[in-house]
Amino acid sequence: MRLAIVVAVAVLSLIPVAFIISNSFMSDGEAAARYTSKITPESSFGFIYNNIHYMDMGFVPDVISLSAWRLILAQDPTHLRFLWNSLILAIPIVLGQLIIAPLAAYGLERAKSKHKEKFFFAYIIIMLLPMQALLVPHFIMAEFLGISGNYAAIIFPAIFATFGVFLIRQQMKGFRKEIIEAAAIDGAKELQIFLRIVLPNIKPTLVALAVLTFAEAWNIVDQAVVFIRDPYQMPLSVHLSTGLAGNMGIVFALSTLLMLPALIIFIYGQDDLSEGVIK
Amino acid sequence: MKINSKRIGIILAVIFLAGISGATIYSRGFAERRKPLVRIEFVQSGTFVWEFETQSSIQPAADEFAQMGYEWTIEVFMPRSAFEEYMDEVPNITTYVISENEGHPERVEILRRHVLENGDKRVIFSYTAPLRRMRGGVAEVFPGENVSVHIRPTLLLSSDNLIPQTALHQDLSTGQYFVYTLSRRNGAWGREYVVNRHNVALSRPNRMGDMANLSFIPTDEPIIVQAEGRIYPGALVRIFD
Repeated sequence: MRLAIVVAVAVLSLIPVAFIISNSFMSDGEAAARYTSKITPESSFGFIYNNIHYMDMGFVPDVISLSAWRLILAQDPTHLRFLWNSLILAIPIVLGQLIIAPLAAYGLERAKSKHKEKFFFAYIIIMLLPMQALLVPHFIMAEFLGISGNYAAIIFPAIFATFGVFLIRQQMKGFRKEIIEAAAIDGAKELQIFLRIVLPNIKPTLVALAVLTFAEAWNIVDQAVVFIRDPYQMPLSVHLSTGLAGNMGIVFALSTLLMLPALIIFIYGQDDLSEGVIK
Repeated sequence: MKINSKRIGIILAVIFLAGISGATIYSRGFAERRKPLVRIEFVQSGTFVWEFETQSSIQPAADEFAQMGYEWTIEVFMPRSAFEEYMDEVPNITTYVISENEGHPERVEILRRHVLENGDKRVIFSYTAPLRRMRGGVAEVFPGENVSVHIRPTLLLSSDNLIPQTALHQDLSTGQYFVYTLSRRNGAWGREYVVNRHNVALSRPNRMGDMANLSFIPTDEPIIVQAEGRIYPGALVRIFD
């Protein structure tokens, strides 16, 4: 019974993914015919009314075609530019988080200040704020720094996001202080303790943080819409919603392409994700 | 056997990155190769000169005339819209004629200049074409004989602004003449060249007459004078090296 529920939930979760992947193999004509909204006047019982026909979902293409894939991978390089934009945004954010978050968490954990919990509380408050509420302050700050309009305006706030600090500090709380003290007695400096003792021990958490941060940065939409002005610098997640009106075959193929990096990162970090977050 | 998910993840990531890198390089090359090649020429803003033909029947009156050449006048109609910015410069325009066989421009004398009621200008030039430049057997010209003279000069407002006739296009549905120009914009992968259309107020002259309508192109963009492949407004093109 339990297995049946698990399988049912898994199938339900996978339906949209299967739908996107199978529809990416539709021909242009079929995708356009199925997913273009039509308003068809019809006459019935002497009355004329509008039969609003939005789409005709289909899981299996009538004819399997690689036209959408051929277009985005071999013929029109424009779409791949947006994929690279997403990578250019996501990779520095992940790397930056992996540098900043452990340092900040370690500092908060090791600081002797009696106010450190207040600082940490402030971190949690910011983490709980909706991202949209922080967009205006971020925008004003970016304008002040002169980085509005380029990727730095998105990357810097994301690098200093509070979630990573919170996650790693929670892991560090369970870290045995005796080990750090033993290292300090042996003459290790603070940076050495951090690099050689703390970091190796929180590696699963770092991988989990990388996976979660990548997923967030990969799906970035609001920040890009607010900060990026050049339409060709938009990430793929924005391009999918704004730049492909009416071209559903390409939307499905690009959506499949958009899923792949997140899937690969998840495959890489699946063990650490459960160990680093749940345990 | 336990599958090492990290190793699989790294292999998949490498394959993915290599795949999209290869696809990017290939598709950029593919898209670039599909763009028509165009040849462009930069012209002074506002000038456009059209090559035209004139064919007249003359009757040489005397031996001297046969030796001197054929003098003809050409009346050039300049729409006001084309000249609004250049009104003051019109008296100083240097006009040349290049005959069909000789590439050297010769200065043309301006005989009269009229400003019409609607503001358009009409300028009458005079040109004496030496007989040696006329098509036809010059040697057979005798006094009193009717001779058909075919002159194909190109009128220039400035020797730097000669535009080949291949640059001129006509909309078959409306008869409107136009030229294609080239502008630069930032595309997805950097700079790209886009074709624009600029209408030209020009009408094909009567082959037997000596009147050509001259227009000015209201742009500083280079003019496409030759294209390998079909071009249209908005098309992306490559430029001949």
